[in-house]
Amino acid sequence: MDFLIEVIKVFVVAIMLLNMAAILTWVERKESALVQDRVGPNRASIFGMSLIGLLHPVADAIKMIMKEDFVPQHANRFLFKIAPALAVFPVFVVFAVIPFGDVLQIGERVIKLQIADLNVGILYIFALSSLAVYGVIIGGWASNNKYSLLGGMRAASQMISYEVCMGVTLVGLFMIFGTVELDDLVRYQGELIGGWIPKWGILVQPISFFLFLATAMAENKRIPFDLPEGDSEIVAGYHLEYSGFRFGMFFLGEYAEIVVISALVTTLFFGGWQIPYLYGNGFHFPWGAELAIVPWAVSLLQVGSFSIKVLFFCWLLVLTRWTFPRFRYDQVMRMGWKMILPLALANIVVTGIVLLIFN
Amino acid sequence: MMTLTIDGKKVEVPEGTKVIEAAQKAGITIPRFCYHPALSIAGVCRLCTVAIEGQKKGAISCNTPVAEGMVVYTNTPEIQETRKGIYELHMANHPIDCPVCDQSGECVLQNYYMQVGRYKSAFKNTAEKVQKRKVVHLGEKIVLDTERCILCDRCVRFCNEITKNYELNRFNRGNHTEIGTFENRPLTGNYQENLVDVCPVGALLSKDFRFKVRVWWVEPVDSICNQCSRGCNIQLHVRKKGGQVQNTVFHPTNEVYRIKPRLHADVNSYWICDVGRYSYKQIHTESRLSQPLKKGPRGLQAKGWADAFEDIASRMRGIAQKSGPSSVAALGSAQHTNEENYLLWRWMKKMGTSPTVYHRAVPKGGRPGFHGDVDWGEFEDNLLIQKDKNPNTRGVQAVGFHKEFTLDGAGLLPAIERGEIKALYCLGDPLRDLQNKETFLSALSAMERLELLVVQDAYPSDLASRATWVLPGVTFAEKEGTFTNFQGRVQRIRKAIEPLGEAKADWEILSEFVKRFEGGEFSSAEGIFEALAQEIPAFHGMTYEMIGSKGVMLPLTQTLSPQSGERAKGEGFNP
Amino acid sequence: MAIVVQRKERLSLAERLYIPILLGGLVVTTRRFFRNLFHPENLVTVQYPEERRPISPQLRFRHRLTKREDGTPRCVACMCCPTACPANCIHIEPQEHSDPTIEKRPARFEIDLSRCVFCGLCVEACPCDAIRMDTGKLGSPSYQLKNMVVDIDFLLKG
Repeated sequence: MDFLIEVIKVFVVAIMLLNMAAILTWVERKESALVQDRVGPNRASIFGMSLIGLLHPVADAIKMIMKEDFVPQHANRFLFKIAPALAVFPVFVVFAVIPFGDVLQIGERVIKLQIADLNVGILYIFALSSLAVYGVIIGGWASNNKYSLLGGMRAASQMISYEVCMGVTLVGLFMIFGTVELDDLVRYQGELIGGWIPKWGILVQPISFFLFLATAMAENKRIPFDLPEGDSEIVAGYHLEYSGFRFGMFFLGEYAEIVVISALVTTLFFGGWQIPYLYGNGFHFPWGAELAIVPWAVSLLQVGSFSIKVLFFCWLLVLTRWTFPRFRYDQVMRMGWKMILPLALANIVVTGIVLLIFN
Repeated sequence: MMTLTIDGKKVEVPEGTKVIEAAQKAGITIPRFCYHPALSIAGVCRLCTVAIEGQKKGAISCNTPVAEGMVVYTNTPEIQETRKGIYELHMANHPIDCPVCDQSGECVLQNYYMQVGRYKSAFKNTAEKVQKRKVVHLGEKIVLDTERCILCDRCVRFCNEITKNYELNRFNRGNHTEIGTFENRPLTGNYQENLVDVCPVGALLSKDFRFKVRVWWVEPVDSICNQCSRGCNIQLHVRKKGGQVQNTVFHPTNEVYRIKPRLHADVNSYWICDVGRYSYKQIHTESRLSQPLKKGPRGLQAKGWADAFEDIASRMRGIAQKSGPSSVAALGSAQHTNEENYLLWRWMKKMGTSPTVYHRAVPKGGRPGFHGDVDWGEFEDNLLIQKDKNPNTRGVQAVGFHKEFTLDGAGLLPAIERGEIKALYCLGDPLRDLQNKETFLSALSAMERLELLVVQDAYPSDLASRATWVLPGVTFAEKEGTFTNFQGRVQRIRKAIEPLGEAKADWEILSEFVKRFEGGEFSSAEGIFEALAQEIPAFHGMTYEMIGSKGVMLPLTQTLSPQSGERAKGEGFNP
Repeated sequence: MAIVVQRKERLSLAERLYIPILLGGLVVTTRRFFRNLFHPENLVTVQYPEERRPISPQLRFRHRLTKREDGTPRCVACMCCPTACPANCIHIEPQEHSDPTIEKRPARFEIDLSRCVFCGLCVEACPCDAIRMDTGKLGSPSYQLKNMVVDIDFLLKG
């Protein structure tokens, strides 16, 4: 029975993630259109219904499946073919450790709303997201195209640089909460500072939040950090030679990663599934008022809270793309090594001192 | 000699000169319609009116002889007003259909309107104009538009004075005066197209050129007519590659569109015959050689130039070594330039033989535009057309080919029959115009005995189809060179268009052989001419520069004075 | 003339921090986003094939050849338009007209629309008002270049 529940959870999460990624492609187009005073996609339709362009992701999926799976001459066929899988796989498995709710009580059974509560938690995420770079580099190299290779090289240096920063930015947070387990992190964020203010990560580690957001965007290879793709410079970078569904996998991976990053930011800095003052049996407001809610409804509210926060960050990341221009390559490197890394290190030191003084 | 002042410039001219000519000498062009230097004075257009000091009224400069101390003004405000008045009268019945008119662009009326006309018309509407006959066909060459005629009489005088056939005259009176022929009979003769040149407006037009192309799309290239030994100075009007309007699909480039005469007082004056004028049609005929051909088991087959040069040179060498240099012969051509005949001569000299035989074309039958009671080949008249229909007979003789290829080929054919001559290089086709069918066939069969027969010509022929190698030469419009006319005047032809297909200028082909036999390298016709002038006594001291546009006499006895027929550039074709 | 941008020697602290500036940018795009989300009537997009923008009558459209009262082309094949044409896209072959007062007419009149730059010089050059660019039709897309060469019948239909 437990096994069955786990399988169901895995399926639900995986399908949600896939659908989110698909819908994000639509969000990206519509949002960019609105930001630029346009209408955006509205032509794909079934029986004359275009559903404000929502059918475009479907059309895209069909198109990608139907398209020729082209392998360039003299490309390394094996590596070329597995690269997209290597790029997509880590993104999906990362989501396993992210808690999207507290617990769901059905009768006697208590179901944790998280696929796997690993005690290494965030380290697992770092470990796997580091693997994603392999897909990109291998894809870039195996394509036998100089632009692809350049894209792969850029991705490698950029992702390795920002991987370091990403880890370091979060150290302060772990020092405060004293854990790397995500479920615990979220629970600690349910506490209140002085009985009023929720102890969310952004409030205790604001600098860490900005640095993490920046490095996460860089990990995602999106504007303003889209040098590996850099359409105006190297055509499409590492996935230049990909077509059909292999390209689709890179594409999907990118949008799934947006969801993962949003979920991570939510979990680490915005209290995950927490709603301020909401406890297992209802709201307990600091001014003494109370509102009793049945446990399953609480679970529902928590999942809803998590989803809304994630959606907000998805929206924000997409908006970021349509707001900022691309960094120059040297600027990216300088920012990574000369700004974010020192700031993150300083953040650790300051956090350490503050913790020493207060404890 | 008399001295007079025109617009402040002093000019000295012989007695009897007209003021208009004196002004021309002073560099002042007085507008005129009816005056033509080669025709008598009519004095009907009144446009050349000038003011002469001491006279109350203006005088027409074309018919006013100069007087000692005369002071003439050609451009005073009164004269300008007078001209505008005269212009308005000329234009009174002239239709303003310039866009349709083929003369437009080289129309004297048009040009002078922009220069001196520009009157403000008193006519309220064009319906007041007198309607006359529009498209009147005068024979097969000329079409007449009586509405456009300004009655300058030039054409009438041309018929009366130059061709003396008195075909054209004025009919009716006043506003209704028209030019025409009696009972609209067609014009005759071989000089009809000159009427088109003489006509200052679009009244007389060439049917051959009408509607073909607008005159501003063609550009002139100076050349010499190759239809007879007169060597008339002509202009080829061509649309060059890279010309002004490139992409009008129906008006292909690299094509000659017409031929116009070029003034040379001592050769052809202002005229050329119609046969020469239509000779451009031979350039763009269907049957032209455009590729080197080699005799193979299944007839002639197309080959590359490199093959041709290599094979011919090595065979020539082989035959000369095996049977001695005298077994090789070459045939000069009166249809080809001095340069080409010289190169052939020089090559043969290098091989150790000396060629002496040249051939002339004696055309049979007619030619486009030819009116005569005998064959074109036999025809001659006392105006321009010479009996010898070859442009360079004097030249080929001067280069050293002094025996003419006649019925027995000047001893060449018997020698071939006897097997003494094994290789023959023909510049042009010597048998093309042989009159007698029997001699033609026996000559052909003799030629078949040759081990190597090379024919270099622009056109296919019976002889070419029996040749070992056929090398595609070009027509006179596609190459540089010089012709020597019947007077012994060396004159230049110029390349107007690119050679057809893979064909090469004849001097280029020959210079390749000369190079292969270590006779020197030549990269231009001018270079060949320099060598020719050094080696051949008759041409000593001549250069292209010296030949200029007027030519040099052979042997070098006189150069022509520059004003004998010098024509100002850009004046159009109507002087 | 090039525009010379005067750059400050050093960026201010706020600029060097990036974040305030970035947030400013985000505010702009966010404002746009929400304005357009709730007031889609502000969007400038025209749904092209269904919806067309009004076209100025002065615009130079595809050419047409005008006709005489009897329906024959007014064109007299005077070659003024191919002479004026900077794209060399007009090809006319003249022919004798049966009426001697008209004298000339086009046997063939072709315009290569794939080369035409729609400058209107042909219209200005025409002495007979035979060619006009007032059909109200724009372009004539085709899958093959040769189909973009239009002949006299097409041009007369307008």
